[in-house]
Amino acid sequence: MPLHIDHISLASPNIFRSADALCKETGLGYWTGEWIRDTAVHIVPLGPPGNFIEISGFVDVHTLREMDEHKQWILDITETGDHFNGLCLGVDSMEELEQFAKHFNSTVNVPDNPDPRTHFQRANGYILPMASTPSGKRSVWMKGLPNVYFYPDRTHHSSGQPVHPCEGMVRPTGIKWVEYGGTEEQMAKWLGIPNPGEQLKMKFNGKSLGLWAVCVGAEGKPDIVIRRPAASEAAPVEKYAD
Amino acid sequence: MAISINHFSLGARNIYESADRLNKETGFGFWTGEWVQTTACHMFPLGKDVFIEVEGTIDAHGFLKMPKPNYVYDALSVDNEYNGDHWTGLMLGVDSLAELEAVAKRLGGEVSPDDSRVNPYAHFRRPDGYTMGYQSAPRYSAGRPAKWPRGLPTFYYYPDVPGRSSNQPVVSRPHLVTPTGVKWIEFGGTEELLSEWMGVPKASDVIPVRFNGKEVGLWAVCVGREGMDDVIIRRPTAAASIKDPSIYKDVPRPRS
Repeated sequence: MPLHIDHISLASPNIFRSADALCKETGLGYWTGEWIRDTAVHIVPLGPPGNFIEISGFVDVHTLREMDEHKQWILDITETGDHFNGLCLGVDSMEELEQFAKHFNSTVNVPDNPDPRTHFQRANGYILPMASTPSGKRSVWMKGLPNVYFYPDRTHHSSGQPVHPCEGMVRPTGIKWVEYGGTEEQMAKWLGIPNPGEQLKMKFNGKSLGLWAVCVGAEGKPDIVIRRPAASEAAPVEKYAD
Repeated sequence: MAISINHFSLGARNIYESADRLNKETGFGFWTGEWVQTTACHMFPLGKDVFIEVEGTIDAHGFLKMPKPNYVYDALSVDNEYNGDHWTGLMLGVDSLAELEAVAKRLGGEVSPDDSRVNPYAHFRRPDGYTMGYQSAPRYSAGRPAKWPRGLPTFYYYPDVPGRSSNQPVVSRPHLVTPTGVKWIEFGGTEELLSEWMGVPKASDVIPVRFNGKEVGLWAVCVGREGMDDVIIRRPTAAASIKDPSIYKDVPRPRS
């Protein structure tokens, strides 16, 4: 599979409340227990070929004793509620990922740190290996741009784990489209591909950069459109220009 | 009146890190997903209907808006060898609402309302929509009597024993150990104080408790393990890390 959407990050002031609300809104189930450092995620699988939303937020308020730019960004984009804060693309090999790193004039974040605290962990003890690009001190999410991932362990990909049962549950059948800010030309230039709209099922709304909506198919039901403001609406990307 | 140990609250800066560490320390499994308002818990069943709730604040903006000083936050801010973990509660159980009402009356407080059906988001919930319907006492809406220090146990009545947090399946992981129940607990203060609070001649005849004379509150829990030695879970009690208790208002927790 060439470059594709892997997952979507939804920044939340309270991941428990947001997951509960999203489940009520859509019927999409979720699973719990994954975390890294001061942050945890509730995972909403979206169906084949393997996509998911990670509802992400602080679970350690003591982390706010030592602030940095990224923590302040998370606070800023969650102050008024949920915001989509990341579109995460995927490739199928480390070689492909390294090609994107070269295109980004960057390097690959390699999952080789032996300290488990530097990786996402689950309640069953599983430590999630993943590589991504571009690397750097400031995440490209803060600029409203997608990054690219390679997950070597597809069996344990977050999209394929069982969810908690919930009332009115629906079976998701995959992402139909996503709505993104900016223009297709901007995205083509960032990714170095000619037609991101067609290849990545992206529509562009000309608003500030970032994800604004995702449409998910549901078995036997109308498609589900999940709309949340992009993080750039709360924290303009110009603030994070190099 | 039959009084038993119902559960323990272990306050944590980060419930994910704390639960992972407690698993490695004891071998016990836990389950995830229970929450109420700005708080969430990871649950460790201990056998015989008793559990530990590893509890923490999971809403940064909610925390920033909370009145300060915040008793639990300040206790957890004090560093220790457990990344700030402190025991924040011993919860006793009774078997009927009538018994709970008698406890509230004896201690001059109230019973928390049973409004879980009409006000579910004021109660602990699970991802499957299950809402906990327990009630507790004494609740002091007009302020805690000075006679009773913080750290004394609250009493609970759980009408739904199968739905109790002690009786849910844990997440599978390698090297899980089966807990066989609480053997004893270590509590601060004196037996006289706890006995008076419980309304019994001798607390240690009712629950397996030992006293260390330190600050009032829970200090240790000893749990049996199938095929292994007992394990003792030691953490400082919250009161031990509070320099001046008089600066804290006794704000009722936002749940039953």
